[in-house]
Amino acid sequence: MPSPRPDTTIEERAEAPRVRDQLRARLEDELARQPDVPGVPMFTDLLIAQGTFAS
Amino acid sequence: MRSESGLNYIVKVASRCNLNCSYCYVYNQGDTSWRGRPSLMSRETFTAMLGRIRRHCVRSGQETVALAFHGGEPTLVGPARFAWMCAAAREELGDVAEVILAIQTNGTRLDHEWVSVLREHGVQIGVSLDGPQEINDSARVDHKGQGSYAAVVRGIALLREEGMPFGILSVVRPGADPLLIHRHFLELGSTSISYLLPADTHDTIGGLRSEFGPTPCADFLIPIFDDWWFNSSLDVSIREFWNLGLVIMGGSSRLEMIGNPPLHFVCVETDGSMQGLDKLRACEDGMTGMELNVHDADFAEIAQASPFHAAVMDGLPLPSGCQACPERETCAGGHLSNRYSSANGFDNPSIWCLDLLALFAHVRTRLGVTHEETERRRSALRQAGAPPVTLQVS
Repeated sequence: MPSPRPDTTIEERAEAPRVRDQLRARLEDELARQPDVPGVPMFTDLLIAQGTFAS
Repeated sequence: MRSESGLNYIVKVASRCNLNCSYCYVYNQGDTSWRGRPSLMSRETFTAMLGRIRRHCVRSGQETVALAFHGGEPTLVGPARFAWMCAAAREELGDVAEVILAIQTNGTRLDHEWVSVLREHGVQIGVSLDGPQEINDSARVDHKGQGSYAAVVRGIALLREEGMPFGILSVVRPGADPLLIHRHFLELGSTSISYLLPADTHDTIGGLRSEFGPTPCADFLIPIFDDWWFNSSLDVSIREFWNLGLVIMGGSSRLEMIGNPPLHFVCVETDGSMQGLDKLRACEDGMTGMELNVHDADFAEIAQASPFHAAVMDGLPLPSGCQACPERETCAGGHLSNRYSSANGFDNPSIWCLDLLALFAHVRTRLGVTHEETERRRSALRQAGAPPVTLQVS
């Protein structure tokens, strides 16, 4: 495991499994909603317009 | 790219900028092509471009089309011409596709009139900023060398007053305090943040490496990842981390930075010329040129007239030096511009290879996903065989 940041508290470290499960669930949800098909058109890194292109 | 591939468009409505950021890939790296272009896109050129976009939407059958106003600094066109452009785009294209409008601005010229225009025309907003004043102003300066921070945060304050959501686009600052920067962005009220890796190449990276060590970008981004993980809400979208997660979970990247995904967008310059992947300007003078112009050519002609850019849009082959890498399908060589050297072209691993490997290792460990699990998930997702989507719209 990588070392937590020096200012990460013991309580925060205890949160890691919950955060991991939450993020995995969100990623799985997006992959289910936006099926992974090679060749999907995408837009550019040079734009971040909230609500449209940002995940 | 096939001639019927759906496309989105980066519309360079201004080829000049009121800022002169030291690292800018448009003005201060390899490319000088902007010098010969009109400062602003004319109404005639914009109208010609819309006609070509319409024809391409009909040809491709795409259900959505995105126009991103970019530059230079796109607000240099002024709010009146910008409002006309937005209205013209919706009128010309609205019956063939859902029209998505967006702007990437340095934010320094935003005032009440601009905010009103952006709201009226439903334009999604991205603001470029690199952090608190002392960090931002060390590189993001005007043509007199004056920092831009104060003007940018005035613009952001107006957006917040009006309840307009915005994303912040920043460039990783090797050696800077990453948490100071990240927490500043959160304080400014953005819930959508991107940290771009600097647009250097193998020809230009030497000085940065010698000053900041072998993994300056990972050293910057990993503390932000842990802050996001432990201290922030996951509701704050950090685009690079989200896409790292997607590819580790077996999906495809929606970012140029990793995964070498197909790039189905085209730049249109102020003179109407079609241009390829914008960041390739950092590699060689004129590399983005396609020899096509909206005044006399369709976008479908890119596939035949510009094989290099058509190949770039499909994703160039993996660098030979990446073939044995365990992240060859997830990272896939990183961003094309970061692969470039004048000696080998794009057949190099990214200059940020060690940074990307460190990032992947860190995110994998946090997520608890091995390379083998990524492979299993990728196979399962692709076997599902769901129909393709044309654009993320939330």
